[in-house]
This record gives sequence, C-alpha cells and structure tokens, in this order.
Amino acid sequence: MTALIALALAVLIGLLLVRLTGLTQGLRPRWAAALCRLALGAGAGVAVTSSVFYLLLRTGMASRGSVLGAELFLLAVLGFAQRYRLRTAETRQRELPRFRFNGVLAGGAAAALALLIATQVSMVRAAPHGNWDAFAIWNLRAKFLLAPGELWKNAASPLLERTHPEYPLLLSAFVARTWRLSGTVSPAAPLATGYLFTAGVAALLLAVSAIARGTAAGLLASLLSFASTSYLEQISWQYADIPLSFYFLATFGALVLGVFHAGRQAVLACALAGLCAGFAALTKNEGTAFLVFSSLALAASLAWARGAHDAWRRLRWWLAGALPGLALLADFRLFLAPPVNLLRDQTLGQILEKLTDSSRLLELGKALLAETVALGDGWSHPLILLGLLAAVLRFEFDDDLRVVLRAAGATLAGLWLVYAAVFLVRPEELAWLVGTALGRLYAHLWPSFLLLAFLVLGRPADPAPSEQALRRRKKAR
Amino acid sequence: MPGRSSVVTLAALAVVIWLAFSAQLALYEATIRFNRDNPDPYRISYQEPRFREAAALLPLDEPVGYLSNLELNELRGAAAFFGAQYALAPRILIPFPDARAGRFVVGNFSAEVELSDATSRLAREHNLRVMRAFDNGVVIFENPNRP
Repeated sequence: MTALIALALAVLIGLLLVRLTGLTQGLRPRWAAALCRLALGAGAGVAVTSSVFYLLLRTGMASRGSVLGAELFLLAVLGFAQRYRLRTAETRQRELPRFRFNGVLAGGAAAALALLIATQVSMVRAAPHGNWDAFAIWNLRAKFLLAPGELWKNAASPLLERTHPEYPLLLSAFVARTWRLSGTVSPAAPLATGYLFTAGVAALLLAVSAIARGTAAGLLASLLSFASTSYLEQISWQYADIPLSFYFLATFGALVLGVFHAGRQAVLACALAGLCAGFAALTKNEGTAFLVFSSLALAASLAWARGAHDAWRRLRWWLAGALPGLALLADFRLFLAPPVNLLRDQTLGQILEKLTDSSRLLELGKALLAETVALGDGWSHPLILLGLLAAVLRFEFDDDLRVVLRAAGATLAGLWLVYAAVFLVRPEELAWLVGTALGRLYAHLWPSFLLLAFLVLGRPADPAPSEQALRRRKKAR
Repeated sequence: MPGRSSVVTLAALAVVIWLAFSAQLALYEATIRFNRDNPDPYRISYQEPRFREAAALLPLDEPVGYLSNLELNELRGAAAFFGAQYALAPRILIPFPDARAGRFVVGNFSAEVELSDATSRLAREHNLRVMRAFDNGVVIFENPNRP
C-alpha cells in the first residue's frame, strides 16, 4: 500500500509539471485531454522523482526522510507555480467528426481490457518477480541502489558483468526510490511501475489519437493495441522496454498536441517532447539512439516546413527539454558506468564484412519477418487489422500534422535500421541475439507506429446531414 | 467522407472488434495454461527466504564467491546464480574461483546432490573451509587464503 502511495506522489508531481505547460488546455474531447495530462504526468513524474533520487544518491543524502522531503518540496513548488500556468483555452483544433457507433467500439475495447486485466492478475500471481531481466538486471540494480553509504555505486560495478552495469538507471532508480519511501523491498513497487507505464501507453495511444482524429480513431487504436499480443506479453516482465516505448510515444504525443496550439503552448510542447526524449535516453541505451534520431528528424522536418529560423526557435526548446535527461546520463556515463562496448573491439574490416555478409543478412531478414509475424496471432494480427481498416477507411493526411508525421516516421525508420545494423555487427551469435532481443526492440517502436498509423488513416464518421438527406430521398424513391 | 459509415465499413469495424477480442481471449487462455504448468518458472520467490540466514553472515562491502553443482552456462545454473544474486544483493556474487572474490564463498546446491558430499568435495578442491551449511542447500565457505 505504501508503495502505491509513493507511486501516487510521483504521478502527482508529474501531473502538476505537465499541467504547467497548458498543453492539454482547451482540447477536445475533454476526457481525452485529461487522460493525456494524466499519462504524460505519470511518465514525467516517474522520471523526475527517479532523477531526484539519483541526485540525492550522488550527494550522499538519499535517506527516506530526505527523499520524501525533496519530493514534497518539489510538489509544493509545482503547486505554487500553477498560479502562473498557461491558461489559453483557444486552440487550432478542428471540429471532430461524429460517429454514432463509438459506444460499440468502446464496449469492444472495454471487454478486451477486462480480459487483459484477468491475464495480468494471473501473471502477477504466478511470477510476481517478473521475467529474467527483471531479477537479473533492472530490479537487481534497484536493490544495489539501496545499499548503505557509497556502496550504491556497485549498481554500476564492472564486477556485475552479467548484469549490464552500463545500462542507464531511470527505471532501477525509480524502483529503489519507491522501495526506500515504502520502507520495504517487495515486488509491489516494480510491478506497479510496470503497470503504470502500460496504462500510460494505453491512455496516450487512445487519447492522442482521439484528440487528433476523433474518438473513433482513438478507440480503434486501442482495439489494435489489444490485438498486439507480442507487446502485451511483455507487460508483466518488469523490463525497461515498455517504459522506453512509453517515452517514445510520449515524445511524439507531446509534439502532436503542440500542433493544436499557437504561441507558447506550441513551443512548450517541443520542450515536453524533448524532456520525454531525454528520459528515453536515461531509460535504455536504445533511448540515446532515439534522442539522436528524433532530434535530427525533427530539425530537418521543421526546417523544411517552416524555414531555418522558426525551426531553431522550436528546436532550442526541444534541446532545453532534453537537457536534464542528457546531463544525468552524462554524469552516469562519465563518472560511474563502465564503458559500453557493443562491438567488443572488432576491427572496421570485420564490421564491414558482417554488414555485407549475405548469409547473415538473409538470417536477419528471416528473423525480422518472423518477428513481424509474431507481433500478433493469426487473423487477429494487428497488421491484418490495420490493412482491413486502411481498405475501408483509406488514408486522410492532415497538413497540420505533416511535420510531426515526417519527424516521427523518419525516427522510427531510422531506429529500425540501426537496430538491424547492430544485430548484424554484434560479435554474439546472431540467432541468439535475435531470439532474445528482437521482440523487445519491436516493442519499443510498436505503440508509436500505431499512433502514426491512426494519424494517417481515414476516420469512421457519420454521413454529413446533406448526405443523409440524399440517402433518405433515394430510399423514398 | 463517402463510404466511412457504409455497411462495408461497419462490418469491417465489427470484424476488428471481434478479432481484437479473440486475440485477447487466446492470450488469456495461453497465459492461464502456462502459469498453471509453470508457476514462478525461475523460482525467484523461493530464493529470498532461502538465503535470508546466509545473507546475515555475508559482508556487504566485498565481492562474495559463488559455487554450485549447476553449470552457469546452462539455463538452470544461470537461473540459480541470478536467484542467489537477487536474494543476496547488494552483495556482488562472482563465480568462483576468481581472484576478485573476497573472504567468503556462498554455495548454492540443488536438491539432487548429497549436500555434505558436494560441500566437502568442493571445499577440498578449492582449499576452502566450511563455515556454515544450512539444510536448504545453501553453504557458506571461508577462503583462508584471503586476508
């Protein structure tokens, strides 16, 4: 119970931070705006409190009292700052189409959600400590962070060579912070953290799609996420992959919300998106690649659409947002963590040979295809469902969203290529690598891919009144 | 937007709802079946109580050696190692023999070995002294060669 209270404190801090930006102010549907605020707040709150805990560890002041004191102080400051939050309710959002069968879509999504909850209850009962990497890496390092004195630094000890001591600490530090505040090392904290991120992904996908394309689009995006069984299987694992997928999605989600505002909220959207991208870098090594790609892709898209001057005006807010995550990552990398050596001292010749080795390329191609097939199950595969929706709803591009779509599309494509290239050049056996990691890497990209898909798909909508009258007349004849 | 509320579209949406639900149903059934046959597959829940007494005797500030009858490069052996490491954290476990290990070595033995035989054989092989043997397969050795 105390773990849940500690979790709620983190969410409240994040919620106040997001509310300060006024990013969801005035957006419709109002339930979706509130859901976006809550989901972005939850992710931001986890990252902010995790970062505060890390800083307190670094300064030797991470006792229960000082962690609680620091967070309550932060809460008070953010609460006070609400007096100055942006309140403009005027948005550039267009009228959203009505669809009279939204209730049916919502009923379907609710039934699938009920089954998912039942599945997760079974998982929690059977394996409360999660899957392999949870007890071998993420939660294990959280336990190290609770060690007295300077011994917490053993979380990054090179002696933990089977535990990846070079992995960034956002998730482990948050679990350790929650354990410290709750006063007990129980599986409740990492479990609740995992479900918080899952709920955040589900809420963002539903709410951002609903705000950008209408409630029906949001509900359809949710239904497709329920068909993404390979992603859903990972929920109870307690790995950093679902949190990473959240920060990827939150980055693009914030950018999408920014499109509907003019003025300061639009630039604050860039800052919040940058903040999420920085937190992604602090979550897993792949997050650093995401930060680099998304920064470049956003810069190029903005420059193309708005010219260099306006692009820089927004990009500097993005960079300012990414700075806290980057600074903490730099501190961890420079002063604590052992060096990352993905390529294990291979020569350039060896790397090039692997990149052009046709048998290796073929093996990887087969694995990528197999993993794409494994994203879902038979006829309910999410790509089949997407194809079906595209066939009946067609595509409908919104000019206002073009910059975000280009930036997000290029980022996801670039990351997918980098993942594939890393698989090719790593010294480990390729079959083992793809067998253990490919599903998780797909999970990073999947929610963002779904969001992009629903930003370009056509929307189910009731016929316009004139069209309805025409139909009635035809029927009468 | 022609066609976006036509009978074909509505039928397609109904199919999407049904297939998404059936995907969840299949996942639910598979999960229930798997969990019934393999509860806590790596037996992590058992490790913390199993190592609790040993943990009280092991120092936090030096790496502890790790010995087992299970091979580390096999799934069962690796799961046993990480189970012990998770239970004993924030102590660092290092597979023994390793010069970086401190004064103590923890033994983690599965039920199928005769504990006293395995313990005395390993103590002899590695020149260790048995400090304490618990009846749950956990043994603490002392390395007299370390200061």
